[in-house]
Amino acid sequence: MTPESAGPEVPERENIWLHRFAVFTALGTTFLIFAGGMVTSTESGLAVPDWPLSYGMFFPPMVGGVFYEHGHRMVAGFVGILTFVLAIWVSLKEDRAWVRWLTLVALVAVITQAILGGLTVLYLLPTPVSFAHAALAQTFFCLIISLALFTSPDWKRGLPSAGERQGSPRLPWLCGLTTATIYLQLLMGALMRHTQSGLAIPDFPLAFGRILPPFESGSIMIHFAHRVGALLVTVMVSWTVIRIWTSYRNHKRLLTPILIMACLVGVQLTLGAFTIWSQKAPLITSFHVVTGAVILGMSVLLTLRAFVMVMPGIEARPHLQPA
Amino acid sequence: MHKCKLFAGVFAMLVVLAGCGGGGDDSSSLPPVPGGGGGGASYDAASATATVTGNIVFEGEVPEAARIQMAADPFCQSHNEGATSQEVLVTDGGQLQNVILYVRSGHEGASYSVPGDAIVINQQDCTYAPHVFTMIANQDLTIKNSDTTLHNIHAFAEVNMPFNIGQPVEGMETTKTFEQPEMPLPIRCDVHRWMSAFVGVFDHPFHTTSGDTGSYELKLPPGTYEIVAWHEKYGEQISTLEVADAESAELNFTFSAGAEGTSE
Repeated sequence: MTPESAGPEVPERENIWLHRFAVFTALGTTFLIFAGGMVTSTESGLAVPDWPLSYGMFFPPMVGGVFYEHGHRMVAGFVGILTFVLAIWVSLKEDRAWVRWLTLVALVAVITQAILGGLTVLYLLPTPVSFAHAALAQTFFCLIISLALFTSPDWKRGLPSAGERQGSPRLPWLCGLTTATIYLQLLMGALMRHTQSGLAIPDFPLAFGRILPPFESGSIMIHFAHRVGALLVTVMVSWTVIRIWTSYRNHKRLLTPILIMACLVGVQLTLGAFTIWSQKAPLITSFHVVTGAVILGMSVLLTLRAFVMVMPGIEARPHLQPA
Repeated sequence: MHKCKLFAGVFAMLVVLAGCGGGGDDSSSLPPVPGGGGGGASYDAASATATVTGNIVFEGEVPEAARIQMAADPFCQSHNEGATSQEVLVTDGGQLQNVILYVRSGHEGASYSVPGDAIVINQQDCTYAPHVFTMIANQDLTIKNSDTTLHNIHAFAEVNMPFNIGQPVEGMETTKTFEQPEMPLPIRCDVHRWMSAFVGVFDHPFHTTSGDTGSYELKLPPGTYEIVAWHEKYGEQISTLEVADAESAELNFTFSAGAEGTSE
């Protein structure tokens, strides 16, 4: 038996449709982040001046910037409904109390997110509120990714133990550190977007033709911090790739997400460069935003798996330990 | 059952959130507050006897006006086919339009009444008319929508209270005022990103624009003034001028393509 083969069935805890619904909610959230990116990229955040209605209507004409702003609201409403249904479903079918609580946290997060979205419109995009809206979007996405993982049959059956390997920090902590670095990098990206610092350094890969730019303004500092953050994320992901490749290569639950992350980091760096070279073309910029979110989601998934598979005593059922 | 009640409660809260608020169309029409000037004796601007006239000369190659892509709104596309940017408009005679001319100093020490007539900015064929205008603090600004498409009017005020209101229906009018002098104060439609206008708000009546002709006339009381010409792309030029009672003076400004202009 390989380390990755399925374990014994636990039918009473399985609800494949609940898991699929959670995955669907995660996909919807991914699209929602893209739609939100399009609102900022096209500078349509105030194209609908009122909230919660749009020009006093439920469905205004979808012209110009209204298409992006009201479209974002519609997708957000859809994701809100999905989260609400997910919360009901989990509360009825899930016997793990902590999963029920986590779903409730996700529901509160999506409601808070809607209110932050409304406030940012009504108060004409104040940076702290817009930044909080962007940060909570990533947090909510992480919650939904986690719920999709926790409701999966694979997780419920119990992930196989990957055992301890040499290396410091231990793999779960390394993955956690990578996730934290990515999250901070996304926050820095949000700060850059909402302080209009995206083109504060207009060239790439150099900065004003130099390695270090002249730090003459806050915008330049924020922009440069985002570039440094990209470097840190690349280093952290590379480190994690090397660790998993050298010590946990046989565990595809660990190997697959980190390889996907590594590929996405390459894509993300390219998108970041083209964001500058294209003068923040909306589609490129929005794909840059959503790719960042997907990398974070994969990292969360990897970290959770790593904790369960490597750390003893964390819900792992070591019935499939490799020889 | 208990859980169902809990979620029913949350759902009810969502419905209430969705139902509250609404139009948000802040149609505040504060009455004009008299005495827009900087204190001191009241001065009737109509009694100014000196006349300053001039042309706004544009030197160099006139930049080609960028075509505006209005495909995002079928109404705009059909009603303003071939529209071009209003940023740099030069008359056939080589005079620069849409320049704001105003007195920056020399007018202090008097107060000025606020005109009862409102300034009107109209959204027509998905452009603002006028593109550049001036007004006195506390004077009414009437914002009209003459289009059968929706617009939002977003005033990017920094000194005054910024606002963003929606006018989804043709014929809507909203009245706003700016309480403090602010120059320039950009106005933009976030639905149609090409729609922009600039207003100069002053605490005195000595201001105008070069309008469609690229020339201007200012009526001033006798005195020495610092006069500013401002253009959205080419920035500002300043010139000092002394006028006597009933004197007619000429003051031209020159803006050059890609360079600072000079006053004569």
